[in-house]
Amino acid sequence: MIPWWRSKRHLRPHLLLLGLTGAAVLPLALPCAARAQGVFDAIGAEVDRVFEQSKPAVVRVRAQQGRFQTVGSGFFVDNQGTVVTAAAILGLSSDISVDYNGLDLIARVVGVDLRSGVAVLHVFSGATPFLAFAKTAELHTATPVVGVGYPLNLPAAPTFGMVTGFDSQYLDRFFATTHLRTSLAISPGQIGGPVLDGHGQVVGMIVMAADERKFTYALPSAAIQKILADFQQHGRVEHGWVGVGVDPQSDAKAVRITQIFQGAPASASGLQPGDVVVRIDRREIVRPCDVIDASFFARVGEELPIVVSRNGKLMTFKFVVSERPTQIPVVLPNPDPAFLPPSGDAQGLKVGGKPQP
Amino acid sequence: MDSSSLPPEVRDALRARRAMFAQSPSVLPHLHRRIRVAAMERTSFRERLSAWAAALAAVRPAAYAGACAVLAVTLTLAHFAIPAHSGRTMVAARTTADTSYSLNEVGALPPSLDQKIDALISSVSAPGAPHSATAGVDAHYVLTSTPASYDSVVAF
Repeated sequence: MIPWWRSKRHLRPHLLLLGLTGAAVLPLALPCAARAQGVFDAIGAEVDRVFEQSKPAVVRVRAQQGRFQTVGSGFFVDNQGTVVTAAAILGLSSDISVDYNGLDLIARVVGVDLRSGVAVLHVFSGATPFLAFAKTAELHTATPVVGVGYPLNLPAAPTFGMVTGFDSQYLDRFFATTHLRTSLAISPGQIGGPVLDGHGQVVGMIVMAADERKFTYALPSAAIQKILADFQQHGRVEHGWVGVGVDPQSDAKAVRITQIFQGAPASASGLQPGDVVVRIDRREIVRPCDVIDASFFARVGEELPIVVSRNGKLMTFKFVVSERPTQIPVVLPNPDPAFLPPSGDAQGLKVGGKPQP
Repeated sequence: MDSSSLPPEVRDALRARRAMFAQSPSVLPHLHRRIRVAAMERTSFRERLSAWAAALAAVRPAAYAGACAVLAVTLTLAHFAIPAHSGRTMVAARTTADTSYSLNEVGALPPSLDQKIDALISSVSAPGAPHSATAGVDAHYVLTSTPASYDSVVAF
């Protein structure tokens, strides 16, 4: 009887080819699979490291609202017991407590800034773990971030995502300053929690979940630091105001002034509607959101130089920044005199905007 | 049908066909023979390829090794170009469709994920189980969907 390997002699080249192919493919395929698995393991390990490192400084915040409580998250920002959280958790309550290390501690409200949605609490004077702030300027789209907070009544949990954009408006309304748009998935109770970078430093605070929780907005760390500094220096947040309105639909090359608000520092400056804002202090203005950020970070009482372009000629104006009014007077577009009261004041909305000489 | 009523040329053609079928009672042997020939052609092609590969390996081993390397790279690229879980998604989609169909059969709409979670939460009362404000607990876990304050005008 002929052995099978002799009867299948014609298959030898095929077997040889198959063997060589396998020998060539396996060294390529195995490291790729191992590398892919290694990347996932590395990401998981980094997220876990950031979470475990930051968890002691993240607290649960409770506010008694009559018969029920509103509950969210917050985090220590110094070793003296200062907690930053979301103003939405507190509401109008003054009965605030913080769950820290298994203890239910009474918290004092240092201040609430409704414009940015930040509340600052003080728990006690003692050594507390805290989170350091990162430089928001180093963030870019697709920067990986980790959110930490207390979902529902569950223990602190991490959520992993990335920065997906920088928005100054949501739908047709404008934020107080540019917010971080992230892909973090959050649950009720995680509002007020920190958003951390790969070093475990705070790049923002979770303030809202948008579009049915498809993405999450975070207030940048620079804005939180500005608010903390204002509370420390003035006991409240002072938002700058010059009194100049710009076209929110301005294109990328020209942010045009549309109105000068009456009684504002700019009303008697010589600025005119139609002027193109080129620079505010050291901030170059190319989009309307640059104006929003310049306004948010302007310090009340400081002299603020503004460079505008009028008929192709650059002009510099200087203002002493005043405090932003709680209600901005609204200027009606092309007001029809037939519908205006004689005094020009309709239902509390001041109608004006005529540039002053 | 009476063939006498047909034209003579048609009658001759029919006669010739009957004669052909009389000589070859079935067309199946003919088809079988063609299939066998085709199979032999395929076999001979395989043998020719084997012979060519063997000759190439013996005469020009470098060229043979190069051809193997090109084939290996091609197979590797093809392997990694196909997503690893592309098939699994299709299976999951079919499973979802089947589930929806079975639920529709009994006249019930499939519950949403939120409804499933709410049902689960309301049925669990153990400490540490997730609960929300709708579960009869006096805690409302905040999740805002709008900013605290935002403007309709851009002004500074």
